[in-house]
Amino acid sequence: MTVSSRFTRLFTLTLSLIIAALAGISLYAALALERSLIPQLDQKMLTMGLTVNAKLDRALRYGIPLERLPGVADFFGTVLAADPDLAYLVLTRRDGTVLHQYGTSLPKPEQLADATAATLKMLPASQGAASADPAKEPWPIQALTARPLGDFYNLALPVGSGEAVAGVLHIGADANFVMQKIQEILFDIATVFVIATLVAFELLLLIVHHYLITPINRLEMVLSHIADGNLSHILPVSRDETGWLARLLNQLVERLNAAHQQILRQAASLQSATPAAVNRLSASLEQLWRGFTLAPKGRPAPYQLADLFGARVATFLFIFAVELSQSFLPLYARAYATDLSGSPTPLLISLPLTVFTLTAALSMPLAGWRFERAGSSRTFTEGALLMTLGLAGTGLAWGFYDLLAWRMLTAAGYAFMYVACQSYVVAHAPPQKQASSGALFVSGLMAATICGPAIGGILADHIGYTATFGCAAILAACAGLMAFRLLSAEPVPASPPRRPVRGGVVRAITGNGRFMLLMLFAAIPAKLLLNGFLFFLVPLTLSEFGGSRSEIGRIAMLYGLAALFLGPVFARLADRFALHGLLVGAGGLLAGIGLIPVFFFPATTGVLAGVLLLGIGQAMSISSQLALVTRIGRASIEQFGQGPVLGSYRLIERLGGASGPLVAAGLAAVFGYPGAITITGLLGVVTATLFSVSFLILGIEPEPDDELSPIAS
Amino acid sequence: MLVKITATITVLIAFVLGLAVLMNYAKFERTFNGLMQSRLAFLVQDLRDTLEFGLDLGLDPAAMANTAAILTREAAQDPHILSISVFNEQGRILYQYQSKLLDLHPVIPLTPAWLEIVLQTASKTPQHISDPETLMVGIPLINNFGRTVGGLILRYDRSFHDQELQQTLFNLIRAALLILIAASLVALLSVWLLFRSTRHELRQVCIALEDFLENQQRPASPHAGDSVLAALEVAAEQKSQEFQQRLILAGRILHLEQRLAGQAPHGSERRREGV
Repeated sequence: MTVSSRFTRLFTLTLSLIIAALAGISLYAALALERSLIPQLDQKMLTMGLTVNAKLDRALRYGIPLERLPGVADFFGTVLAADPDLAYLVLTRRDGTVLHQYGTSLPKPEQLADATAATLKMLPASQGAASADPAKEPWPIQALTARPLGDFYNLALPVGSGEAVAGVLHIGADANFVMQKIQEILFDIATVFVIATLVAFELLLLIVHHYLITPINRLEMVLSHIADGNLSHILPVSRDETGWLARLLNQLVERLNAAHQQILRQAASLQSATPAAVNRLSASLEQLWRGFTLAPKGRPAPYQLADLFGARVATFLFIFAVELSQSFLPLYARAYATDLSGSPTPLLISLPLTVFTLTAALSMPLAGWRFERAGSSRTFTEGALLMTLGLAGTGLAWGFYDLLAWRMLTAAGYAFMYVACQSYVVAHAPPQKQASSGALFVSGLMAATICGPAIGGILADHIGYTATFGCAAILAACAGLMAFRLLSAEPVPASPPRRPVRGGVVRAITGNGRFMLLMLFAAIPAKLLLNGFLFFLVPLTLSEFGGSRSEIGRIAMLYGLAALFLGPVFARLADRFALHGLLVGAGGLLAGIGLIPVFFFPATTGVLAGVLLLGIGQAMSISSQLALVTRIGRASIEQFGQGPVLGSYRLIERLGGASGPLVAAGLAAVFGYPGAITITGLLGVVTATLFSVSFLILGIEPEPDDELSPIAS
Repeated sequence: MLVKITATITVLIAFVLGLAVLMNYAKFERTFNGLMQSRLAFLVQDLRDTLEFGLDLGLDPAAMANTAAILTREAAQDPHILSISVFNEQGRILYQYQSKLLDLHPVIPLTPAWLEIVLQTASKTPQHISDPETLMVGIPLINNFGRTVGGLILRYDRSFHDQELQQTLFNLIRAALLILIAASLVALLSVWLLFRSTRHELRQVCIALEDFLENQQRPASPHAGDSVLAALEVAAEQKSQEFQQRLILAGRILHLEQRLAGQAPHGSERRREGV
């Protein structure tokens, strides 16, 4: 059995256990809740029944027969309207005939007749014949409990007339009352399952790689080195089976190196005593050592294999921490903005989001500089510290302005951690695996984008904003600790000699018309839509529609799900059929079109469709956009290298993203939230159309004869 | 490795169960509170209707003689009702029902601030307030000219409410822990079975290498198994043996050189013995 099939089995096992655990606890919760809630429901039905009964009884005391009472059904309707937990109120005669009734759903008449007969049978003879007035002679309340009646719990109360019982009042609640309550959290349970699946995948991948695959790979590498005569490496020793083998291998390598050193020392002393033998001895020994590589000075170096999965899990954790608040951040900011100015403008509400995106974009170069000097582990740990403080501060902020400061701190931490992880992967990925290593980083990021908003919404709903920010801070700290442990052994990658290229790159790319068209009509609108719509307008709009924070989180999760699962599919299609331009245009159009109906159909479903189409549209366009950047900017890449060109592209894109909440807030101030969504969508459609038309006319790369007269110079 | 993988699965299941317990408990708490609050609100609204009927007839709240009897009758519906108070617009208590439970466990008296909250309420919707010992439901009394002439507050024993919530939380946590223990045991067993062959392979290679280290002169061991690791181990053993042969050769060369240089310890000894 291969390691990958073993991992698949392990993953399946974990999922099965998670499903079983969720099913078990849900079933138990259903039973436990039923046990506790049904007596409460009973008591409520009794309270209401006695009150209604007293009113009917008063009418009877005035000598009005039950069947002649006017407006009883309306009265029942008023009582039921005030309480959605109850299903019906029915008044029957002693023989079970229905006199008055009201309810959303009702039991069958024969069931009511049976229940009436059963109730009358239970009455003490004296009460059946004489007074049953609760005001004068209290009913034995404890004896009156609801009983199952078809699809309902039914409580039957005799209505006394002073002489004899004149009828029976039936109060009903849905028998599935508790199950309905449990069903209301089924979406949340399903969300937890999706998140648990992704978290399980990430953690198991890390554990299996860190404790099994990487140590075995290391063992195989060192064994194959020894088999090739290379005796210069030893292995880190852990406390498990691989560690045992590593210890033995180290013994072998160290013993051989020690014996070799001893021979060298003897040879050296001999050579110093008899200089005549130097050449002969050296030649003989050199011939003997041929085909073997020994450790310098007899001290073998530990064999290190970069743990890219560690970087992936660290990425997953810190993005998870940031995304935890994504689904409710505008609602949280609105609360602070309300304290500041009574009825805050959308612009004010958008500020924390804008400040975050802008600070993150502007901190990236600083983070890159720090990475080159301090290495990935230290940069990441510094970022984790900043983010932990920032998130904790956000949760405990005492005013709008310090909330902005905490968001800036969080964003700086985010930039440091992002750059540390991305650069670590780039620096340590084998040259032939650069693309797949990059994908490893992106997958961790996308998985966290799915989990964060959804779980954040659930947590905010149940434990509040401050505690959720506290959880986010703990996650960021955990990411820091994990990175410190997993990335610390790595040396700081040697930085290539720096060239003063930034100004040159900026001149080169601003002079490239196609590059600027791509930025203006594809890259910036994509980020604008993402930050303006998904992160700002969606929470506020859904909150306006009455959606809970859990619901907002679930809907925001759809974007990540679409991007995670469809992104690789579209990327493969684009590469295979060279469809990069088409997919960027079509993706932009789809993302924009999805938002347009919201103004005309302002409902949760419309926003949900918009988020889903945005996810699909961006899954189509994002990887193709990167491919277009490398094609369109080929000349600049050849001149300045890929890093500076892609860095400039990312910076422009992020600055566009920072403008997203501001643009969306400006539109919302004029047109309201649904209107702002529609106009943002129209903006997306217009820019995608302009992009498509421009590149249909110009082509992605200049024709040979165009090169003589560049379109923008 | 076995323990670490099992621990990871256990942590994951604990995370899932923790969230499930949190959600179920939150739902229970909301439903339980909803049922209790709506029941008490209904009681208070019914009392208000009864009292306002008197007000509509032009009676002064202080002069409604049957109020105390009405309060006692309503309070009889639930033994956990601690008190029902009717007060005028100045906040002076006019009538009050007090449960015998209050003699045994007195609670903080009604504060003017709470009465003020009820009197300030513009709507006819009951107001829910709570303190560490009681749940309170209050509602203003409004005459047929729309003027607030007083209010009423019902206080309910919180210990019963809190005990129910705690009991349910305890039951949910206990069930989650039992499920977690069972799932962890299944995980431990499954992981052990799943990685048994890997451990076996590693152990075989270890034994072969240990054997080789103890007795380096023997030919490379073929019993390390047929995995890639085992094949590499055999190749590494062979190369090590080759290197050891070279070390022996180097030793011999050194010995010869020493003898040639007249430095060999045995040669000098012998020469000395000969002298």
